[in-house]
Amino acid sequence: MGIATAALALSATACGKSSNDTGSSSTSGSKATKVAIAYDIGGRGDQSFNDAAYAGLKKAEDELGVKGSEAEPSQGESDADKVARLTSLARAGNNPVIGVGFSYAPAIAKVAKSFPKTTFGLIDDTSVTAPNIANLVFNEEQGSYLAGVAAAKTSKSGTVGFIGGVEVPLIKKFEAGFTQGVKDTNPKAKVLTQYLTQPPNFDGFSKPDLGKAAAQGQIDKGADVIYAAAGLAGSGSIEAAATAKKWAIGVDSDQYNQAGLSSYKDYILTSVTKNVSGSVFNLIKSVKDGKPESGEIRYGLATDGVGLADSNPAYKKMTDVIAAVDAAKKNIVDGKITVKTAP
Amino acid sequence: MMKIDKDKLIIGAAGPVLALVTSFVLTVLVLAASGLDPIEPIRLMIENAGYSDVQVLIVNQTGIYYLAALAVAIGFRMNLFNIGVDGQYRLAAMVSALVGAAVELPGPLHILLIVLVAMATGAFWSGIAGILKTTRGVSEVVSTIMLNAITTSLVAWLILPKNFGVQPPGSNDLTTGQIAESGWFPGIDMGEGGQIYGFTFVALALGVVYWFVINRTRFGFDLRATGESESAAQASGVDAKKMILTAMLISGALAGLSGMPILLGESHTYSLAFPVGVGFTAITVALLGRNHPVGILFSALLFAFLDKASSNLDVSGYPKEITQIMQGIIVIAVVVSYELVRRYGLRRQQQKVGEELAAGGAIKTDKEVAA
Amino acid sequence: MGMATPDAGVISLDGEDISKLPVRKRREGGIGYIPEDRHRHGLLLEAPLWENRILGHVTEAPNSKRGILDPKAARKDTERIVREYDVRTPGIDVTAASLSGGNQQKLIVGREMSHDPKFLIAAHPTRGVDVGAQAQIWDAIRDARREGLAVLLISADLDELIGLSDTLRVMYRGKLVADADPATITPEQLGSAMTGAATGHLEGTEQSEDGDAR
Repeated sequence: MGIATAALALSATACGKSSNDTGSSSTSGSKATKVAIAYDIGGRGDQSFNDAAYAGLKKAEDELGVKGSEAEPSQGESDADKVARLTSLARAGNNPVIGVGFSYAPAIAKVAKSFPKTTFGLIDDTSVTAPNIANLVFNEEQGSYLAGVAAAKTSKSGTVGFIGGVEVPLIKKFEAGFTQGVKDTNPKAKVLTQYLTQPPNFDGFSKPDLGKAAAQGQIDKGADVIYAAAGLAGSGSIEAAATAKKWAIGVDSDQYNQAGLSSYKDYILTSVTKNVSGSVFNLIKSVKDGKPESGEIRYGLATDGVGLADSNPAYKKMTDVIAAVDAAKKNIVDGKITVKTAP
Repeated sequence: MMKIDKDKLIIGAAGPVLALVTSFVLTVLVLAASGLDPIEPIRLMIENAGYSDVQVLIVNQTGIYYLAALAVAIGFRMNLFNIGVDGQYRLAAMVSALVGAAVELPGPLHILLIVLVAMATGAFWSGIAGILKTTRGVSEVVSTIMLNAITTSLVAWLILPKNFGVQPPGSNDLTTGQIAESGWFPGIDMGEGGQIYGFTFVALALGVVYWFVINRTRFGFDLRATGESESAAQASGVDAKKMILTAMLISGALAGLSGMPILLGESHTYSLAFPVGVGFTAITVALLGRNHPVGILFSALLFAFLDKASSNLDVSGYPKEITQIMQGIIVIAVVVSYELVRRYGLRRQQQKVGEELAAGGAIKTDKEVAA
Repeated sequence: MGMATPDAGVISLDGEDISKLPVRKRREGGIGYIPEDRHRHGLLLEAPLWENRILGHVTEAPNSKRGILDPKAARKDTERIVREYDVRTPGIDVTAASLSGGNQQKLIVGREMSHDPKFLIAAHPTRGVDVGAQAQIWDAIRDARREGLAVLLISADLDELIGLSDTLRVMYRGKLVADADPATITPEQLGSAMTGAATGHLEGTEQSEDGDAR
């Protein structure tokens, strides 16, 4: 196989056609609109970030009748691989093409130039911009601030825990907001912070056992509310908290309603929702309606792009907590509180 | 004499061929067992490899794997297991990227500086394992693996914005800053296909250098001798400790170079998204290539093909993970098949020599001529 | 040879103190070595014969010049050694492991003699070697000694010791305990010295039953 490939590479590189020559670059409107999302590390099934993006795609398929494609990342890939993936999705006629995660930024910068008529969605990054790039960003720190308020008010021990999946700037936003929310509500409260892994090891977003061990450690130290911003690994933290009959706060989607976590739902106090699915759906709709979004599209508290879920009836009964949260929300929206984006 | 030579060739190729056939068969079985069409994904991959942009990706990845595998191979020939190639590669890429972004020099000098820093960093990192081995007898397997873990934390700490890292505004990524264009290694533009990294050719040239040093220099002879029999090498005059340290340093330097194709030809910075795992795949590549520069080249090509040609399998409904399964099976298949072939080959040669001598095929010696 | 460090004492070759020299320098300085364990110290078993010819002398002609190997010259010289020392092999590309013990040893002897040694250390040179090869090796050592080569023969083979040596020393439990004249000593006397039963200067004349030497 090696020899055949060598022959292939040496002889055909100069004259082979590009994979992007296949498929039509369709602009016709008679066929169903095609849209595509390219997932971040972990792909679909992470019970969190990528799944939220898929939810938006599915909603668009159901309500708008578009035809969706998904593409998973490869192991140890570089920007060149992402460029190839996005290019082939764009060439196949998908519009918009959405890159889920900041690691797609350099690739989208390149590909957007080659396909000016295609709209590209980039989630969690505003460093690369173009007329046909929509930067979908969220105020995770604001949602996390509210979680901090809820945690401080709910905690009986005065110690709460934060578990970050991987120590990257994005997750530090979650930490910063949460810590600020806790301290503003109860200055004497203690916040235990732990990151599961360091980059380039992104296992911290995908290994539940890591989250479970970390949560267990924090519970042993007296934490009775644990907020995990760790993708799939967070489900391990939720399991540990529920087993110890402590509170857990979910992230990205309303994890109270997630089938895979139903056995622990009673202990999921709330979740910091990040309306990734809404942002995906909105972008697809805007393209279909002929008015594609462009530039920075910010989803903050004011537009309910982030927020605290209140599906848990136990939470709904905590009127004083809800009052504090609502007050804090108002202060942030009114500009009276500025939430830090870095600890 | 001719007969034995052809035998050697067949036995030489038997190992890899046996390993590849076994892996292929086992992968097909795995696919069939999980209810998927076993042949279609392979066909899709071969079809995908026919496109120029995928081919460019394959060629570029081959250069990367080749360099890293040479690093591993030098160690292997000395019976040293440098499992730390991945850590050395990452640390070297990061440090050299930092240095590269901090200065601006005329083109060739800028590139040379980055390359030298990468080699020095890689050599330094693996040198730690080498010194531990020669002064304290610490197994390099253990020390290099631990150094990998230290690398992860060290890089994460260094790249924090409060230290040396840069967080571009609006981005959630951390980088070491952009290297000015004078530090970009020119590539070959393949039009729609993309760009072949210029450093890929440097990699190939290094393969030639590797072959020459190992097979045609005194140092290379000493190295091979130490790998085959440390006691015989020592009796022949080799300073084993110096040899071990030197081999580890060279291995680390080569490992440091394997980040250069991407750093100098693509990303021009070291960020959180820099590809990882190269050092571990390189171990399999070197094993399959039998530590021989040409064998490693084909092996690197194969692995690059498996990596890149499978990129769009998921769009057709097949799991991309089948290539990882195949790569994993190759590791085991290689080790087993090489040992089998080696033993068979040795036995067979002893047999043949015995036969030839019995049949009177020995070289005419003076004694016989005199008689 | 430099592979073990002495606790005390000085080694000198031709008047020069070589005690601190590394193995390679000693070899280059003219010491040849036929090791006691040829598989562990004398050969690369899985390497071809011509590479084994280089072993131990990689820095010297004809094997290399200024650090670059010369396989053609090495191969040619290997063929010469094979001819001159009657190494039975179908070719010089077979591995050393495929040769019989005697032929392996002949190759080693030929190799060590090829670099004009001043001093040859032959440790148990015919152990595990067939009778024919043994005779050939003895001939080679005698020829070299005639040309002026100094030989340190270490052995436990009484016939070999008496047959080849000009002078004999006996070592017992790490100490020199006896010396003898090979022209007159008997194997029995030599044997008893080697087991520590006899010490001092051994004469070959009639001995008392218990081998008392005077």
